[in-house]
Amino acid sequence: MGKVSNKKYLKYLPLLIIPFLPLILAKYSYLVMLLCFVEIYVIATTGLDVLYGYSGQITFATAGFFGIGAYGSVLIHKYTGIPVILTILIAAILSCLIALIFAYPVSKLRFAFLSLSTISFNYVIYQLITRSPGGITGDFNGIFTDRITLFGISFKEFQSFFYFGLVCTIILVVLKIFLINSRVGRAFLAIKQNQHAAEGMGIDYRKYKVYAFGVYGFYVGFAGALYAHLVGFISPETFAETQSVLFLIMAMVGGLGSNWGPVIGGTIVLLLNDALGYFQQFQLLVYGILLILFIVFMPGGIIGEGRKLIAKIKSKKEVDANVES
Amino acid sequence: MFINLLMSALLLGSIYGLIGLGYSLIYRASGIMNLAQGDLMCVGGFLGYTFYSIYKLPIIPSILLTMASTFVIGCILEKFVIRPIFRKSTTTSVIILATVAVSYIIQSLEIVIWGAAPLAVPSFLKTPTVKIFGVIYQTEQLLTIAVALICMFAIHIFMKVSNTGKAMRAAAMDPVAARSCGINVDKTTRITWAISTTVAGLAGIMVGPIYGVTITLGTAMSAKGFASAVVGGYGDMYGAILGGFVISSLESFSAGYISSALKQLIAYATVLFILFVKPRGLLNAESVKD
Repeated sequence: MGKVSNKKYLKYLPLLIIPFLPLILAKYSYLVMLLCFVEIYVIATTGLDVLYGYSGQITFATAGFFGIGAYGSVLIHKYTGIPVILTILIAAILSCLIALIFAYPVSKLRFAFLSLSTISFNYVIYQLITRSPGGITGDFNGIFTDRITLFGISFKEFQSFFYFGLVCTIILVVLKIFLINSRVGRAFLAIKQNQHAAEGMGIDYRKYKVYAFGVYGFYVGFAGALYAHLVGFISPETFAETQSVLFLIMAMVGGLGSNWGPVIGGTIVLLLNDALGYFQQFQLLVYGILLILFIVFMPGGIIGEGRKLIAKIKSKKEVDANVES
Repeated sequence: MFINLLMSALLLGSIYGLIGLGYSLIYRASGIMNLAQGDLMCVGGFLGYTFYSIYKLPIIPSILLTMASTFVIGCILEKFVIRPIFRKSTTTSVIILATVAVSYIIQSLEIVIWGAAPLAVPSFLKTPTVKIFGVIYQTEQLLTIAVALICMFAIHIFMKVSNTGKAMRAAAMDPVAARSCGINVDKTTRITWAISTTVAGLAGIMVGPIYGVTITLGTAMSAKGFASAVVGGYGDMYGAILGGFVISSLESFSAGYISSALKQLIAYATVLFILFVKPRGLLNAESVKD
C-alpha cells in the first residue's frame, strides 16, 4: 500500500518547482508577470469548469462576472477605503450573489436560450461599465487602483504578487476538487448527464444549477478582482463578450470536467494568447481553428486525450506481456 | 422627430429582422443557434462590394451573384463544418461554441481578403434620396424595409406551400419520422442553412450603401439578430421580423427621448427580461405554428 501511495504522489513532484519559478526567472520580470496572469486565469477557468464542465451549463458571461469582480473591488476600495485584500473577497461574494440572482430565472432555460441569456447578460454588464451612472467606472477611459497590501507589505512587485496569487490559486483549486468529490459535485454530474434521470433520483436540479452558478460567480469574480489589483488599472475591453469565449477556449483546451484541466488549459492558452499578441491579425484565426480542432478531434481536452493515450499504451503493454508469457 | 425615429427604427428593424430570420430558420432545421449569422451578413456585404464596385457589374447581377455565392457558402458550412461536429458530439452547447469559432475564422478571412478598413459602398439606385412627409430618406433604406418584408412572406410561403419547404418543416420537427417517410433530412438541413445564409447575405448588400461594410459590424449584428429572434419568438418567421422592429424601436426611441448612451443597455435588458418572463417570445411558437 505504502508503495502505491508513494508512486501516486511521485508524479506531482515536478509541481514543486512552481514556487521557485520567480527566483529562476528573476531576470525576466515580464515572464513573472505572465505567471501572475496564469494564476488569475486558472482561478477563473476553474470556476467556469464547475459550471460548464460539471453541471453542463454553457456561459458566455464569464467576462461579465470577471468585470463585476474587478470593478466591484476597485469601486468599493475607492469609496469606502476598505483594504484591498478585503475588497477582493467582498467583490467575489458580490459576484457570487449576482450570479445566484441571475441563475434563478436562467436555470429553467436550456441549450440555445441559456447561451442567449448569458450573452445578453454580458452585454448588459459591458454597457453598465462603459456608460456608468455618474461615470464612476471611468467609462471607456478605465480607472486606476491600488495594489494589494497585507500586514503593511505591498505586493507591488510581480514576484511577491506571484506568491500571494499562488496561495489563492492552490486554496481555490483544492476547494473545487473537494466540492466536486462531494454530494454536490455528484449532483452536478448527474444533472449534466441526464436532467430527468437526476430529477427522478430526487435531485432538485434547479437548486444545484443555481449552486453551480454561485460557485462560478465567486471564482470568476475573485479572479477579476485579483486582475484589477495586479494590473492597477482596468478598462472595459477586458470585459467584452469576446473575452468570454477566451475563457471557454481555456476550459475546452485543458479538458472539461477534470481536476487539472482548467490549470493546464488556463496556462497554455494564456501563454499562447500572449505570444499571439505579436500577430494580432492571426489571433482570431488561431482561436477559431483551435476551437474546432478541440471540439472535433480532442473533445476531452489535453487531460482527457492524454489519459486515453496513456490507457492505450498501458493496455498495449499488457497485451505484449501476455503474448510473451 | 417622431417620424424620423420611427423611420430609423423601421430600417434597423428590418436588418435585425433579416438576421433574426436566419437564426430562426437554422433553429428550426438543426435546433441550434448559429452565432456566425452576423458575420455571414458581412460576407454578403463584402461580396456585394466586390461585384458592384470592383468588377463594375450592374446591380441586379451583383445581387444575384452575391446571393448565389452566399447560398454556396451556406452549403459548404453545413456540409464540412457543422455536420461533422454534429456527428461527433451531441451536446448543443458545443455546437454553439463551434459556430463562434466559425465566426472567428470568417472574420479573419475577411481581413485577409478585404482588409481591416471599413469600405464605403456607393449607392446603387438612380434616385439616391426620396422625400416623404417633408423628410429626406436614402432610397436604400426604403428598399431594405421592403426586402425584409418580402423575404419574410416569401420564406413563409415557401415553407408552407412548396414540397421542399414541407420537407424542411417535417425534418425539423422529427428527423427520424421524416427520414422514414423518405425525406432526405441531410439535404433539407443543408438547404435551410443555405437559405438562411442567403438571407443574411442579402441583408449585407442592403446594409452596404447605408452604413458601409466593416468586420466589426458582424458581431454587433449577430447579437442584435439573435435578440430580435428571441423577442419575437425563437423559430418563428414573423416573430423574427416583429422582434427586429421591437428591438430597433426600443433602441431608436430610447436614444431619441432618453439618452443615446442607454440605448444598448435598454435593448439587452429587454432581451434578458423577455427570456426570464416569456422565453418563447412575443409570438408563442406553439400558438402560431405555420
